[in-house]
Amino acid sequence: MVMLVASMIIFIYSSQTFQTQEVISREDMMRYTEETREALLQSTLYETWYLDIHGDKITKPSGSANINELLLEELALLDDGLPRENFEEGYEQDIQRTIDRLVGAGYGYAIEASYTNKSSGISCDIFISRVDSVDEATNRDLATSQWSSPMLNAGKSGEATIKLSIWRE
Amino acid sequence: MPRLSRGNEGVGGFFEDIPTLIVVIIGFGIFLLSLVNAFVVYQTQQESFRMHQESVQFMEAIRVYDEFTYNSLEGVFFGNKVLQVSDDTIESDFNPETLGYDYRIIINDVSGYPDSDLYKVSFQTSSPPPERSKYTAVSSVIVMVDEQYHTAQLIVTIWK
Repeated sequence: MVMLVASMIIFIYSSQTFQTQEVISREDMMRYTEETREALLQSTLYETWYLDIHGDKITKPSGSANINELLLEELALLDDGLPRENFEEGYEQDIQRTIDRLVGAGYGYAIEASYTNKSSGISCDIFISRVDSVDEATNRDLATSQWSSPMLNAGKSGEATIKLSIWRE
Repeated sequence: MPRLSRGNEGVGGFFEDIPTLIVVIIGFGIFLLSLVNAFVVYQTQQESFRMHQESVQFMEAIRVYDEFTYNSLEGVFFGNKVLQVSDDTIESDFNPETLGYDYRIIINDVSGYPDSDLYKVSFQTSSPPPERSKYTAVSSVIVMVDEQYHTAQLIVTIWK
């Protein structure tokens, strides 16, 4: 009987430790993801560019390229038919470089942006990450923050949906 | 259980039970040690969680620290303030003896702007951090420089 009671005590201590650790880990990741989202919504890039339909470089001067607005602008231009390749070495690479340095080693991230033109029904998507997809089944402590941004300043109606995911690697 | 000796003299049953008793006592002792070990591990883990929570709370306090922030906006630091604040000011506002731990604060501008290296600063209390038993909380902030909004890491480490 004594052994049984002692075994139950060991089990209770061990399971409480494990559950507390899990809760703290998830809360911490959610906090970090929300704070990173706020920083990205406000931050500007030094300089970035994309290729227009003629293959000419269109440069955003220093301090004017807000990351959220860049994503909306790219979605609008994708909706107009500009291929995604025109943004990969400019906008997307610069955004990825910034988030790479911000999030740092030990964490994975992904930015997903999407817009559906209600008139044409066409959807455009952007995916920026070090990985090919967000595997929710295996990523540890995955936290996601999602928001909508109106496309008005990008010359479109409706809203784009942007999602930031961060996880421990 | 084989007999320890042979003969016509009677042997008390208790003496035959001694080896069995020794095995039971040793087994019970090992079990009690396991119980104590589980309790010690639990206490250590609880302390570790508490220190982790303290590191996050301290980091949140730095995010709203008036000596860094622009117009008291949480997570928005003013570049000139970050450069001008002294270690003494920080240590006076966040006294290690009052807090119960020593700390290091790192602000790391990762924006890629040409002057971003200027805004990589570090503040630390006099006691050096140990190799182990230190707790780190990480956040993302903005450092405002003129009309630019630089993305930056805020890394806070505490230890006892």
